[in-house]
Amino acid sequence: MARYGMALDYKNCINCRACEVACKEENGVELGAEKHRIWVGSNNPDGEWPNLSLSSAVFLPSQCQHCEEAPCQEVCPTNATYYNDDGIVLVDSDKCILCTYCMNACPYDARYVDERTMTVDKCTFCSDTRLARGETTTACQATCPTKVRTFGDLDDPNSEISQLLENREHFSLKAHLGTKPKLFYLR
Amino acid sequence: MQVEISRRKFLQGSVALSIVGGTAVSTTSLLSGEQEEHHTLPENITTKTGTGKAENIPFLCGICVNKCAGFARVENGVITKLNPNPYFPKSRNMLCPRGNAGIQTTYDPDRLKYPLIRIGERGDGKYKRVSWDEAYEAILNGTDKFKGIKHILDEEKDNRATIGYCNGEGLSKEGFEVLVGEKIGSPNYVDEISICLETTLGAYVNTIGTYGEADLNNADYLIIAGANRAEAIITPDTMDMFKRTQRRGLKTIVLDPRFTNTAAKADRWYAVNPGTDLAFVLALTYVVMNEALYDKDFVTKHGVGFEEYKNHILSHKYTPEWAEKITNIPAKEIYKTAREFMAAEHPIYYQGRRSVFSKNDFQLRRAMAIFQALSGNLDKKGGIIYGQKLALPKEEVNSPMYAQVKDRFDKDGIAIPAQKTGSWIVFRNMVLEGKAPYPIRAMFMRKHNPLAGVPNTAKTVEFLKKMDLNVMIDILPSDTAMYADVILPEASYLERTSPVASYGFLEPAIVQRRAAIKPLFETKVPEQIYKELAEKLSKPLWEITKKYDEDVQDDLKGKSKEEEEKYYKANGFDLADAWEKPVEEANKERVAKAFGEKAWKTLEEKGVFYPEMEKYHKQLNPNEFQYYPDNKKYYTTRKDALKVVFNFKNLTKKGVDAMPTWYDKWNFSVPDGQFRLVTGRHAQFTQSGTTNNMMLRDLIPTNYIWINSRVASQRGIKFGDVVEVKSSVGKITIKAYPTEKIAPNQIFMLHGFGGSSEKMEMAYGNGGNDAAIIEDKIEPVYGAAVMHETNVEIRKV
Amino acid sequence: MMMKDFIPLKENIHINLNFSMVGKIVAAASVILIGFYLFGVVNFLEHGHHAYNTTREHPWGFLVSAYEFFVALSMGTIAIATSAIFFDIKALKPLVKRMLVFGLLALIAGFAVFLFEIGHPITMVIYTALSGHPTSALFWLGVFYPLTMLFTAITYVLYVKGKESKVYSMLALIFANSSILTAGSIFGLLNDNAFASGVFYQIEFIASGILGGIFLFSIIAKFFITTKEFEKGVLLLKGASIALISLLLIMYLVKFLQAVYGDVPGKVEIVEHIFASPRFWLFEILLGLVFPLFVAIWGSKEKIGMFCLASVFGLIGLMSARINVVEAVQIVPKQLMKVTEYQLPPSIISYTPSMTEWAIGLGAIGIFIFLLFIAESVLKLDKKDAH
Repeated sequence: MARYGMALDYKNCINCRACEVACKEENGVELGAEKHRIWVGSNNPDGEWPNLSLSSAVFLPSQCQHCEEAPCQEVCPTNATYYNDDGIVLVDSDKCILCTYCMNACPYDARYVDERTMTVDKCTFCSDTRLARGETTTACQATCPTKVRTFGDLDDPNSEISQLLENREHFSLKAHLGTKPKLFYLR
Repeated sequence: MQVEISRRKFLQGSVALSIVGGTAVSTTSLLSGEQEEHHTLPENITTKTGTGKAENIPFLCGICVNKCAGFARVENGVITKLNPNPYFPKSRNMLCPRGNAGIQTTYDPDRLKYPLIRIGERGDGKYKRVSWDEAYEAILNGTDKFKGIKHILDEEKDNRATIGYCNGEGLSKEGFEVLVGEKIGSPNYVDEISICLETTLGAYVNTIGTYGEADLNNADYLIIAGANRAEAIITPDTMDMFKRTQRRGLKTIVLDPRFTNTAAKADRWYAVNPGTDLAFVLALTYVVMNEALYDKDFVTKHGVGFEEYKNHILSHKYTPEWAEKITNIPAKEIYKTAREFMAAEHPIYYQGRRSVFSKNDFQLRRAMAIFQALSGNLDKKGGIIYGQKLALPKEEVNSPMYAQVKDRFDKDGIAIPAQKTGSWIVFRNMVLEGKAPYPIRAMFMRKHNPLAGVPNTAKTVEFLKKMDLNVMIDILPSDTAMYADVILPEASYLERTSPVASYGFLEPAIVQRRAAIKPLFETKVPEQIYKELAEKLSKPLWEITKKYDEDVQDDLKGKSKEEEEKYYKANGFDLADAWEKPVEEANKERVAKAFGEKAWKTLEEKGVFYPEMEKYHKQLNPNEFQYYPDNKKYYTTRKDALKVVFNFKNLTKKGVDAMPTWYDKWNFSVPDGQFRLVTGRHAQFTQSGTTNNMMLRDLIPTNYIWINSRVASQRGIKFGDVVEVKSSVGKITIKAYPTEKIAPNQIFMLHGFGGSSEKMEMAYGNGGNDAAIIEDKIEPVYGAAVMHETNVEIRKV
Repeated sequence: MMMKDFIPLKENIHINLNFSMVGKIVAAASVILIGFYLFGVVNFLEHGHHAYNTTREHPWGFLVSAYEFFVALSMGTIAIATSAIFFDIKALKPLVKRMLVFGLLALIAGFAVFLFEIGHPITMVIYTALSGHPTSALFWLGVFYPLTMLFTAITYVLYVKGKESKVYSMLALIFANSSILTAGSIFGLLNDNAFASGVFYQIEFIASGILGGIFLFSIIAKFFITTKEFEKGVLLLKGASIALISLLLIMYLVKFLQAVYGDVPGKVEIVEHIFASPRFWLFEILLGLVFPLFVAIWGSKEKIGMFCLASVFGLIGLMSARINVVEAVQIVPKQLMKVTEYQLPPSIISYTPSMTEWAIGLGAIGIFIFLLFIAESVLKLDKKDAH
């Protein structure tokens, strides 16, 4: 029993997308640009050349927020989407009927259809690969060149992530929706 | 080429087979009707890692030049994942997107799987599958389609220089140089250096004695010009730098014509005009000299010709106001930057890398190195460091002497020709224009794709067509491979153990790449290919030497058969003697000899070794490790031996300015209606080598031309529109990407796309090849290719 | 025991193919639509969900719209028919029997679409039963539809037998309304969606669903019974439609005003998009609501012909309303950033149904008409068949 979350030192992110590839290779994610469990958001900087706003250029790595009040889980008619013992939001593909209600309910665009199984797929925090082998990092964290990510148990006060969240200011995405995301962006 | 499973079929197969990951299928089930050796291939393009038994083999990444370390996870004979190696101080527990996608290189369905001999015309892709011996035989004796090397050397009277050869960067490159250069005896070598960072290396080594390593972990001020560390990843620079940008300790000033991902992380970005960085550095220097901001003790102690340089700068009046007009950077910003730089405790003017931008590149790098030296921040923590390297015993090569071999000739228009590596453009063009003093008739090529890398692809094609024999050793059927007569398929970097390497600087280490799996299909490791080819060629070429080489004839006079054999062996004419031991054995011997048996064990297991590793190496947090304690890092090694050459008088003898000087002919200008073409990299691609990588293609499906969005809208060009880009040497079609991140009179495109080889299904015809439109201009010092001096026209099609 | 003991089949089943002129046109149209449907199904079987234009950003397509159209129509029809029994509304009685059946058939037409919209229909049946999730609106639909069907069927059988069951008609009415409310809740409970979240869609679905039932009643009345006999019924239906259309128009007005007032992000973009859409103005508003309202208020009191035509347009309007709601809840991207360098910044997500989607969704209308024809041929639906 743990309560897994991830802290992201997102200012380190250079939009190289190593995380995205590591995730796909580790978890056997289906190939295809639209088929990503995790991604890096970027934007076009404000202004006209050569007066572009540096502060408006942001790279924001993201993925399933593993919400404690996950809208995707609430709307799933068959409980195919569920929380495991560690608070990770998962999809049981045997139960998924592909109504895609969860895809519409998720505020983060974190879900997509795996066309091999024709069920909805999403980030698992590597729970059936790395964590199942007893490893303590996710593939995205381990590979990151600038070490953006720290994965760990929020219930363990001594874990690196708990320490980070205690000592650094942070925010969550779309927190106003009451989803209680477990991805934390460090300022 | 035999009918093989197409990418599409492979993909379709994967849909049917995919759902359970992990278990392996043999190629026999995939290659219909083919009798294959048993190989394990992944059944899906991406394989989910399992929870059962797995091996973790240390490897060194080979997908770009960095040589980052990783562990390959191997399950049931299939590589299912590449993980970062936390022991290597250079790559510091990370793999970039390309490193992660390396699996797809090994399992690329389009790979070269067996030796091929050309049966059609050059470039048409018609090849016949043959055995290795038949392939070697064809190199030696030719076929009805092309001549063999024996025939050619006989006609050229043993002038080994008639063979040209080229090889791209990599751990097995040296072996190829030994084979064709030292053993076969050709001086006509061209490699990536003359289309890469030759001027940077040359200028830095000649000015401060090293290219060095920027200690970005401890620097507090960084000017990074024409280097894009967020997208052109260099370890450890990229990892160190971006943890401290954005007001977190490393103030960062970026100069780049376009707004890169590095610029997005900067405190200030200056959209410098292409090719005018030198004026910027000269103006910075002017401010520093004029206001006497430099480290006086340092320049007095280590400088050579400082006063002359100071006078040179001041008398030329390289003021910020002067530079503003040239560079597009406001004078007050130049003043501010110069003052801030000198006021900082650990300022670094980043050395930069990559290719040569403009004709003044050598002088630019000199000026940069000198400017760095003015701060005194050399050979110390937070500066440019010289570091240390762990020495490995040298491998002696018994090189034969050939009397008939002629000197290399690619020196036209070059002040300081590089003896070993030459100039790609000058070499190729002189051969094409008939300026070579003797015929170049064969090209031996390995892991190099000049059709995509050397400016003016049309000329490279013509050059290769002129040859009597082209041989290519590679992993994929590249554009260039399609002009080869014999293609030898090489094992990818995950299938081979490579010669052990030493990585120097701040935290030195020995590293070794171990084969994660056996070579797939009929591929072989390069060193084995060198050896077998050498064995095949050795005696027949020796006969030709005996026929024409008067020195050898003199030596052999009156000698018996046995004595002759002895002479042949003793004088290195046995070409294969350089590969007596397999790589694994040679590695073990060298490492054990230098550092002991235990070091070898550590290296085998961890892929990395350095003295006191067990004591020093510590995990600091889930992400970071200590490799050396701070007081053991090699921050300062040069000390009193450090010398900074401000005034390099000897250069004048070669017709090169002794001190960086600006000439008005270098001012940036683009004719009306045209655009200056700039090229570059993305973090998700390594030049043309990765365009067939399915995983990376998900991230960037093709390359686009960046065009200023206001200009684009004037011309009615929208995102995704196809445009024709035309220069004086060629034209390409490519999709448009209107953006404000580039100047109205410039365009940018990613290098490496627009493949012409039909055998690479994903890369073929996808996007545009910049080499096809970049004009083949050189800079005057080393003859390196100049990449950013081509103007183009754009037309919507 | 005979089947006729349970299902009120006609004594002499006679399939009459002698259609009137209008009948011929309708028959021809439905044959074409059924062919279109089969084309869609074959395409689906061949290519699976690849035959659809739905995407990660826009997972719900035209099939969801078509499905919602049929089920709302079904539930509205059943609600009116069962109300007639429960509240003893004599004016509507001439059509009650027929409309109970037609309501059920509309649901079946809806299922004919849903079968190809949902990825795994069998898994759905199994796991809705084994591990149903009470917080999911979709789960409750799985509960309410069968119950509505069951009680409607019982009401119908009893009604044919001459029994007007208050209990069963009430249960059918309750569950029909629950279903339609739940269908609206699928959108209304999308809490992250600024435009959809709230009470609007639940009420809109009930109002427009019942309005759909009224339209269907009016069309059927024109074809199957004399105007005279149904004069009071027509007046009642017109009256109810005036009330419901007015309610809907007011709700739209308020909803849109609320969205554009102060340019509320996540809402104003959708309203702007809707306002720019001819489908909305022409079909949903003008033909679907304003025209029927106009006819209901100012049209001939005696003749139902014009209102029947208005009802046909009304149903077309409702179909476009369903397309519009499914689109409206999805066009604002949740991914607000670019996920690759070479793309335009996320803006309104566009979706156009594929040919397969059009085929299955619209083809179901043919299925519906065909089912009506069969029912008309084999079941006791006329007044004279009963009591």
